[in-house]
Amino acid sequence: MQLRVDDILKLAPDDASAKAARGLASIASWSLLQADDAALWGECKGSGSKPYQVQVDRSGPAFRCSCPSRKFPCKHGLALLMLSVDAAARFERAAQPAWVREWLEGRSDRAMKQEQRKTESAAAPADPQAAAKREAARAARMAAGLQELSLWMRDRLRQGLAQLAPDAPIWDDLARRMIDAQLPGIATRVRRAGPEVGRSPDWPMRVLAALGQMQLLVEAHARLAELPVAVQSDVRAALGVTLDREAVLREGERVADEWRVQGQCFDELDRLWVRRVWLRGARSGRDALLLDFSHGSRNFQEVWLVGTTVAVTLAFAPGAAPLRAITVDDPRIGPAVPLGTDAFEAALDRLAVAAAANPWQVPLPLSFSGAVPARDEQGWCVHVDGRRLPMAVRDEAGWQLVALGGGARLDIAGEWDGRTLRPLCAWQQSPVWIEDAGAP
Amino acid sequence: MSALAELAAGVMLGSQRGSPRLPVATGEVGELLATLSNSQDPAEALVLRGAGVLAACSAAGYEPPASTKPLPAPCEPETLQVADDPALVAALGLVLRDATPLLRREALGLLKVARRCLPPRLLPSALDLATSQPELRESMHPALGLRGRWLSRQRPEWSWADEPPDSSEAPNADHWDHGAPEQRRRYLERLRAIDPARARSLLAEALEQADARERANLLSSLEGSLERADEPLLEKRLADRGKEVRQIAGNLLARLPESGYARRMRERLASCLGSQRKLLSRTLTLEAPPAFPVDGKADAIEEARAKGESLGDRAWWLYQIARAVPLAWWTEKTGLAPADLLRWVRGTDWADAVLRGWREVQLRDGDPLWAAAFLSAGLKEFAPDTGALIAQMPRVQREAHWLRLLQNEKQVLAELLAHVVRVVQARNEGLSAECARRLLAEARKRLAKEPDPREYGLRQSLAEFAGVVPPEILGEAATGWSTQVEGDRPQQSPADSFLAVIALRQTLHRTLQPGKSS
Repeated sequence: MQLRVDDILKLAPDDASAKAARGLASIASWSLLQADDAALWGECKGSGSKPYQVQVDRSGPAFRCSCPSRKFPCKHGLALLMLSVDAAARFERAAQPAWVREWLEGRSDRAMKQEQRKTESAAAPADPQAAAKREAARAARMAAGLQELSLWMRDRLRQGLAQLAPDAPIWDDLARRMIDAQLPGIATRVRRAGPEVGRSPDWPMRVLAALGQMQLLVEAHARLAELPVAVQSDVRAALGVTLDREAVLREGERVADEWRVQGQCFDELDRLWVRRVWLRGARSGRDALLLDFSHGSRNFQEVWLVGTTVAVTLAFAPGAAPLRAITVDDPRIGPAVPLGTDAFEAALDRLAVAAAANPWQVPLPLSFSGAVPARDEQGWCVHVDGRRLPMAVRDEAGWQLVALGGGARLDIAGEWDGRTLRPLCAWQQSPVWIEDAGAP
Repeated sequence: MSALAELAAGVMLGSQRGSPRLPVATGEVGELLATLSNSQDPAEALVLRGAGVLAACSAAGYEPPASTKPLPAPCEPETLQVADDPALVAALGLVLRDATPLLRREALGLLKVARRCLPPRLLPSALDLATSQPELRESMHPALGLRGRWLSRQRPEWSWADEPPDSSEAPNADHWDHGAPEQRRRYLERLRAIDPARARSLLAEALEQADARERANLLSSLEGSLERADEPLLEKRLADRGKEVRQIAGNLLARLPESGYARRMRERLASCLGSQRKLLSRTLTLEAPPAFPVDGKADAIEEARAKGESLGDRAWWLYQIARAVPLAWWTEKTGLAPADLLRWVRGTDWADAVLRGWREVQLRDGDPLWAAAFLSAGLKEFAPDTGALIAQMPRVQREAHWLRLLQNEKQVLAELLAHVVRVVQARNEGLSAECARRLLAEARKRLAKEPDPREYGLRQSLAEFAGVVPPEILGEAATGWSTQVEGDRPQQSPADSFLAVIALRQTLHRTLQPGKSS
């Protein structure tokens, strides 16, 4: 798998690290550069008398460095990986020294131990009685919260939508109460619905739709036990109940495949970073969503590079149209396979099936071929098969897409929030544009 | 109106004012809505439930509207090779995003020589950059390729890129007739390159009509392309009503050695020189005109001193004559070298007047020999012009001078480097490898020492200096820096930015070598 300097810089935790890494990515800074098939390692001059020992596991890629920086990956690791692209010939092929071997072995040991712990803890739940009690308390709080939500929504309708104001504190108050009721999924919907008021001429319809979808959740939760297990899981996820990773690992449907990394996006809200990685199985044709959270900074342990293919087994959380998944084993970057997408009609069909099966999943993956990005009076859009699909994209990225297409058709993968397409990757034979995750 | 919009309209004013009803629809959705209507729940709950159903169904059945606008024709295949080497693309991205003008010019120049154009993803930032910095447009133009010009047609702000670059553009007569002063001046300059006679007659005509400021502006446009045929026009302007116009005309005529004006000034100056026998040798003497020259006014010599003028009347006249005669005349006339002439003039009574005139001549004509003489004389009158004088010297002397400055412990390296960059940029003449080596050696030495507060600008000027290091020594320039500042809070050292620019230029030169295909 051939990485590009651009890809590597996307792994940097911030701009300063990327800039510093560029400065170090010259032979002069390195007193040792060696590699074998599994890893790269080198020694980089630092302020102390001993050079820093820097190593990169090619399979992840995963990084380790003896420097004291708290950034991860640090500039040395990034620079080493960049050098392996820019100046591969300067790396001497050698046997792994002890400090590299130990780390690589430690990595696979840790992965095994983790797996072991998972099975052990699955075998013996801590205290089933206490757990059940906690679960019951939470269910009661959620039910009360949803009851309150339902009354609130009816009040809005009784008074009339015309009385609503976009920045009124009522939205925020309600969102806070939903958090207290352990309903973060509802809180997010409330926060999104508020600003819709007055935004476009058809806002009453949009706000009513948002309220209506919450009403369906209220009613679904009220008769949760009667619903099929898959739908129960979708309702819980939509309400914001945290995914029980261990249960998914234990019971979730497993799919081993070569997964194409179709797109990746990072969003931040109140210092909580959310990362969505969209995968599509090369053999199974299944879509998968890896959803991860990180507090404070955009540091995620697993690294995914858009446009590559990764061999990994995924365990899917149950659902009417299972989408969310977690990795079961260590992802290995595999050979690049030709990427493909659906024709637009087929992509809309796929979207319809997914949205019908789980009406609360937002966003959904959407990828199709034949797209011509453009900008008109209404804003950014793609033209495809004689239709106009609105697109949410920063101006700079939008123009890049127009430039890359040159008026010809592109394949686009992105996410669909019910109104607009957020493009994450575009390709013609190979990926030509990848959403710059670091940009605001 | 969609069913959902109909439902929303029904609850705009509130269910208190009228009971909302679920809309009637056909098909399965309609049946579902009809079932909901039969429920005994309160009206608001029904509306919410109905809205939920309709929202879910319309999300699943989403159909984008038909596109009504015709799309632009696709771009033709590129005729130049697209720069697609990943390292090169990354480097070019940096050059566009964050680089000195010098580095940008270098990169665009290398692209042009290698007959490459920018990859499509960099085109929007390239177009944005040259839109905000018009001086870059000419060098940017070839790098845009067909795709860049196609793209520029999609956005009105970028339309400049779809026209041929400025230099080959035929002058636009509209600019002359209706343009702003700057446009008229540019028109004249371009026309002079193509049809000097026509440009001259247009200028002569305009000078009769324009106001003083515009006359000065138009007349000074001759500076870059002065020729003998301009003399009559300039002679006439010596009698212009505007003082500034008269001075510009005089200055220009002084630069035409065969002009009557230049000859008359030389004669006036010659009459101020004399010689005196002293013991065994003859000494050169200088005497300012005893009275205002009879025909002085016709040659735009001002009789009355300006307010606050420190020179006396006679010195004032002498100064005006001295500034109209090239310095080479003095060496020719007296047989003395510039350094000797400087020594001599400072011994006369008229040193102030002559030196002031010489200074103006030097800054205008930039005689390299004299520049060196002025610098070594270390005159206080020339102190503010040191930089300009260094820039005027031939490269060898200029660099020798810099290296002399380097010997001085007190010389702030950051300032010297910044000055070197300015001169190299202004002269458009590269630095020698040897000089660059010596300057870099000093920089390494100083960075290895304790930080000097006076060198606070070193990071900035070192990074700029990286842009003028000769290409052939980029490799060695990257070595020997012991400056990795680390710690719990990683901090950039001055050499980091320098090394980044060097690495960038190495990539550009390596990937854009003439004849190398990516």
